[in-house]
Amino acid sequence: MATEIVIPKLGMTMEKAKVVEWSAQEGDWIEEGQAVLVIETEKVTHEVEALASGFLHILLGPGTEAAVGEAVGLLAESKEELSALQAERPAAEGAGGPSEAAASASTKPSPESAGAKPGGGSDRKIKISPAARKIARAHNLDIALIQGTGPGGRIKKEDVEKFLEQGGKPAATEAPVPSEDTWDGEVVDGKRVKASLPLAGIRGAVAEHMHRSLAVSAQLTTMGEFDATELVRLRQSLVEKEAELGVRISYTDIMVYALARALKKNPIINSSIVGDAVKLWEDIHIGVAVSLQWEEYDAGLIVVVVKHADRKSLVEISRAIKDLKTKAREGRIGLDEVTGGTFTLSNVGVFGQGYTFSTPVINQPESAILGIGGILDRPVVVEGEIVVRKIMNFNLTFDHRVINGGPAGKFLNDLGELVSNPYLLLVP
Amino acid sequence: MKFEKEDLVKLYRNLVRTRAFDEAAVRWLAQGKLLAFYHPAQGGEAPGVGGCTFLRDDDIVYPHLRGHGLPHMIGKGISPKLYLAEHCGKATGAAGGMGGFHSVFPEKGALGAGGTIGSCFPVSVGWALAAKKNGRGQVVVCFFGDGSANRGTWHEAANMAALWKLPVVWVCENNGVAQFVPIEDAYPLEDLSNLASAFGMPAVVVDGQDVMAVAEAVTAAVERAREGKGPSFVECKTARFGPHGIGNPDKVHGKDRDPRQIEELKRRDPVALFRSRLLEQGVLTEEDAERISREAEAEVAETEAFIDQSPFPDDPGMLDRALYAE
Amino acid sequence: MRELMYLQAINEALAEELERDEKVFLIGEGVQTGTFGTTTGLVDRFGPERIMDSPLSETAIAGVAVGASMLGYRPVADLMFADFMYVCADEIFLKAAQWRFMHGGLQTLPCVFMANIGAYRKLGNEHSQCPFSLVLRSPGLKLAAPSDPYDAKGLLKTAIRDNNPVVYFFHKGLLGMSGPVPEEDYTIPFGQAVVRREGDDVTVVAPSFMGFWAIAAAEELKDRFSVEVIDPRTLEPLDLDTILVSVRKTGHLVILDEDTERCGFAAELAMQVMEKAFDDLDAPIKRVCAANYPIPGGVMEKYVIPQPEQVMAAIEEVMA
Repeated sequence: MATEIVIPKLGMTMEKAKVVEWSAQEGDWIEEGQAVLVIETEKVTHEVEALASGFLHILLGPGTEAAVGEAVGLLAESKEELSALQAERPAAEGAGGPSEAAASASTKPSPESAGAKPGGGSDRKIKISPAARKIARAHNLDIALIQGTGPGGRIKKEDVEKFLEQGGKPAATEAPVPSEDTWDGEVVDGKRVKASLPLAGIRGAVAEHMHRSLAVSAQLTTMGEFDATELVRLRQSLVEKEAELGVRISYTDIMVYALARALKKNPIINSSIVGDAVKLWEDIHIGVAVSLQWEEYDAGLIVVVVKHADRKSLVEISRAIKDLKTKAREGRIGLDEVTGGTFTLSNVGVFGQGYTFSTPVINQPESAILGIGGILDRPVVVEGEIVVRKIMNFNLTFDHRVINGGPAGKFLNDLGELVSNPYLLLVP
Repeated sequence: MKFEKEDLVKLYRNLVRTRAFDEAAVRWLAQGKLLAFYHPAQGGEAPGVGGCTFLRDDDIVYPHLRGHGLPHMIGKGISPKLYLAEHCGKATGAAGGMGGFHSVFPEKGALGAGGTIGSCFPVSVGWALAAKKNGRGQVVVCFFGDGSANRGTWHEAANMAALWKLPVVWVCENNGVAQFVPIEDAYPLEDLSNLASAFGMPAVVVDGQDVMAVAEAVTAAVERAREGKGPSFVECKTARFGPHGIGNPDKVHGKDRDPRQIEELKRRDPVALFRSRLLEQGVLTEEDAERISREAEAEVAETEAFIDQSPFPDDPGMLDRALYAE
Repeated sequence: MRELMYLQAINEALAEELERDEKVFLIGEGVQTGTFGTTTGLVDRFGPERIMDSPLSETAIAGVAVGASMLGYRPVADLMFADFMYVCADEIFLKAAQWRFMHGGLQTLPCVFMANIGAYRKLGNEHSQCPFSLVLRSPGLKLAAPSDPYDAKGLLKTAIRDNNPVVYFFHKGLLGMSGPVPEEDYTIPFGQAVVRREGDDVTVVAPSFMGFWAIAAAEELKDRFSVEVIDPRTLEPLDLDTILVSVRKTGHLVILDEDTERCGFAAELAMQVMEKAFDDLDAPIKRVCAANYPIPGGVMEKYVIPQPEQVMAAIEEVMA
């Protein structure tokens, strides 16, 4: 009896995944536990291991989507069984594909052929020496862009060094800008295309998610200022104690800590619409938007989730966020670490001091998201005097289907009190 | 050599102790206490005990495999305690639990015994050459079986020892069967002592069940070697009461050994023979003999307790310390 | 500095150690005469008791070395040809190598087995081998393989003074090679490789006679590649550090080994480098060894044993 290879459920909200790449070919013998398939959800890519040994029969090829639990391949116990299965349902297109694609890519590795690789980001089929790979990793280079001059197109150390000398950019972009007549790249609507980023993976997920969020909810953004003078002082004293604490406390950390307390007092903000009811969550899981590393033209966005933020100490929150960020940037983050949030914080202040206002888009199915900007010295009037205070701008986007202006204002007042007088954080 | 009464008692005591420890080893192997395998000495104790009991402490012996060297080491005055603890794999063993059945006790001339039968000859020549060079009058006594005598190593080593008049005595424990092959089907002549004549070595054939005959012959050969007159050969016609090793069938050429032949052999049990002779001669009384047996059993019991209380080695650092010398 | 031939350096090392320590003696077939000149004349100085002509009995010669070393002597057993080690395998590989260990470290076995190695003389399968791997797969033994007169003397003196069994392989192709040898007493510590030629592009590890060709190839290719040549001098203990430092610099490694390729020193070293410096390799490691055949007699030898062109080709290949 053949064993099915199914799309595993990697998280509570996961419903489907895309087949990115088969790590073996149609008919190959697969050992139990062998990684056989790479799938991609909205949030992460994941390697699927075979649950039994057998000859591989591929049902769905790269690029196709399948629901959780759906069989995308079969493991036949014998060659005979494999033939029977193949007769019943032919192998998917590209089932013998990955290594053929790699062979052609390696004989003539060019940005074009590399771009055609399944999944876009995988570099496992490119021939590269260990020494060259080490340098490429250290400089965060996309090795698909490097021309290999070794035997069989293997990228050598020298090739990477040359690539770096040329500014680490593909040779094509170094060339003088050709005229429209000589442009051999893509032209769309009469405009020359510099690069084409597929709406797939994280980019695709963000696009789809943001659009859907605006389409399904009634979003309203309230903006204002918090006096963060004391918050700055508090943070400064915590930074001075970095050695004792073992972590460097950031504004984001303190804000998550404060938000958890404010949300506890304002359950309506910590809620979701499920079916025809608004569910107020007992659990407080605060998402923190994280910008991923820059690749050539883009930096990805991912929201990591600090679970039970209300039960964590400030140091625990700080550690959790740092750990999740590292995992996200190294591509090791699990689906459960980026889903299940009940509220999201987006600190645009990290992009620079001038970033004060934004209109954050709600991370569905949550009901609100708080954007905060950089803290700036601003003249304010206190008791009739103009004084300089540290001001933090806030931007709360909330779903007006769930939250009215009153509850939103109360929540902001509670939060503002904690920000302007952070000593209240000592009170449970 | 003139044996005094105490010499005879010592010889008897060593014979009884050897038998007691040999039986204990068989028991311990069955209990899983003694590791690896065991080739009992029963019936063949006299050559080792007789050949070793009157050696000097600094004389060197290469034990034969029967009894895994127990007759030789007991004869040599080495306590079986450390050897058997070693054989049981304990950290208190003579080699710290690294050696297994290798018999080693350098202070009293036990420098090891290999697992490849017949490798005793070349190494013994090396010891004998060192003994000759150092001029301390040490003698090497190499014990081997009829099977070992079939190895080519014999010829190279015997030639070299005879050529250079090295102080080595070759004691052949001929029990008539090498594992499953009778010696008459492995050597064309009646006596293995013929192996000495090619190298001009004196050779003597003795009753290997008579521990005194063995002691006398080996002692004479050792004295000759000590005087610088070179090697000689003592063939002891001895017996094997049971199978080659515990777990081996007791067969020759694929057929069971004749039970009548074994009965015949057992009538000439070296321990019983010597006991009745000493009783007859009035060297021992029945009470003396009983006491010696009881003492041997007590020594076995004490040894067993020591082994039981000893830990197994568990220090991988030992591997590096033992592999290369500084 | 005065120059000596390789064989004279060996002879001088023996003489100095025999002089220095009365526990040292030499045993072997015809050592008083000296098949290769390495032991010639020593009997006149030290007498037949210490320069022992033995019967043609390799097993007993090796056994004597083992036995005498256990009692405090420092025998040097001259086995003439390394191929003859198969005749006394029990004594060398089971006794010398393992008895100290089996006896829980109670014994020391300070003996030296010296023998010549190497082909290129059309001597056929039983007088041409270079059995490094035979020795290396026996933990408990050390293995020295000098490639010039200076090392021949220094390594032999160290071997004799070492408290462990040492296999000392001298190469028949180097016997007449001359080189500087100091008159004063010196030894070469085991486990210290030497960089014979510095370079930046490719590391060539070449023990014993193979160093000759490594240098020749480096010279031949010098306009194209800067070749670093390392002589390990002792294969056990092996100075892996020096090799790793070089590989980390060059990223390319070629290993020369006159022994049969299969399961040989080159395979072992390549694996160790992969384990320790995988990320520094810029190309797959290449080895040049004797092909997996017995060594034929006569002119057919050249198709089996390593040839200089193969060394050049291997360097070019890793640098491609």
